[in-house]
Amino acid sequence: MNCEQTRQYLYDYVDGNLESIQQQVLEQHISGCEHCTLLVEQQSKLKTQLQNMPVAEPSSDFEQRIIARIDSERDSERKSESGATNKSGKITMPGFMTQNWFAAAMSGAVTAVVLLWFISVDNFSITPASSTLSVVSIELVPNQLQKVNLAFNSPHEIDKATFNIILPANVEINGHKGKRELQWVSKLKQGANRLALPLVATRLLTNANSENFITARISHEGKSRDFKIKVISKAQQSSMQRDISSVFVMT
Amino acid sequence: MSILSAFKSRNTSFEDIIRPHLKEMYYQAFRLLKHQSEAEDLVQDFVLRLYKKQAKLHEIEHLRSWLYKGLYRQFLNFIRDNKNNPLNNVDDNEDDGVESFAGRSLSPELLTEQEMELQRVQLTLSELAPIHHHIILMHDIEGFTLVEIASILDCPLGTLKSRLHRARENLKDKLMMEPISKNQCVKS
Repeated sequence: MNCEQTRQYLYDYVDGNLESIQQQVLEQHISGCEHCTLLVEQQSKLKTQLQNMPVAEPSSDFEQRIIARIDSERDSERKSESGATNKSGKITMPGFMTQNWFAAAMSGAVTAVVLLWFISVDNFSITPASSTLSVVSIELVPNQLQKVNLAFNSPHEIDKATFNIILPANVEINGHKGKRELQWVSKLKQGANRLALPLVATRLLTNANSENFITARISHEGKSRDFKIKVISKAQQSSMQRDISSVFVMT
Repeated sequence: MSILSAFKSRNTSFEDIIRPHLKEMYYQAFRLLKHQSEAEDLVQDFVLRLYKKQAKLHEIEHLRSWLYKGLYRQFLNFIRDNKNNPLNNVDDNEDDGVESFAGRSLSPELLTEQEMELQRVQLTLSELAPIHHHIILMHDIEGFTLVEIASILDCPLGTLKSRLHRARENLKDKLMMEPISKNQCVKS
């Protein structure tokens, strides 16, 4: 056996997939070839390194949360079977609480404003004339990246929902300089769906009384609903603490 | 105990069967996504989907690779669903930094040589074509057999073997691992 043939069987050898006789022949060559010995050593080391690559541990309550979600699913099934289904489309907080990002956002509100807005997108068939159902406020500091998390609770999966984010003149989404509107199509999964908006206010509002709105619009099969976020200049609500998460529940 | 015999046992619930696999599925998801909370969400979504189709579990004999196949498909769907979202292309260092490294220092001088080497391998692996990256994950890290991976990826065994070979060669090339022995040095 020569070096070229050894290369051909290198991975099978390191994986231990060679027949005994093949292995013996290969080892005979390796024992007398410094180059192939190094090749085998490197490949074995790489395999060990791959197996030892670090992974972040899951949250301490990871398993509990999943088991709790299964319990919750089972309860829903039972209620459904007994005809006691909640048909009002109300948001059920326990379902949200088990979403991992919720806990992460609540504990991780460090430098950015983390605003959690729970919105039900149920009843697409009911589109009121005035589609603004609720307004929440955020305070943006000019030229500082701040994150706003919106949570949309969907009672069922919506395969192709169209999202529009419409911005006021003094607010941009980080990485999309100068764009006043972003649109894309995505899937809404059943349960909580997070939309993280990395916002930057480009300038302070000049008029202390002026108000600007960010509109999050979700459209599906010709119907749409708007959710508005009022952007307030810092001077207007100086008492508002920037690192406090606000939770709004809309039913 | 196979999944079939587990289900035949009257006292075995869905949770009893799935719980021993949760942590491993999380690690598998983390290696695909490199993000703690996304990995947790991926596993949760997959398990809930599985719960609704638990009748199918009666037919499964090799649960570990079957679960991985389902998780991998969930991962591919996740990637597909999110690639159209322009917000996903925005730098999100704040969360990623906290969650991906889970408390590890990013300061190079605080890493040992061994850790730096591991980081280099990890980085180079993620620079491979996704299919090559995933095949190496499945074979060299998750430890699935070629037959199992062929089933996970729904591809012929021969195709898989050549892909795995190319993936390893690419990884080796990118890591510039070809040794230069003393003999070669003399010859040159």
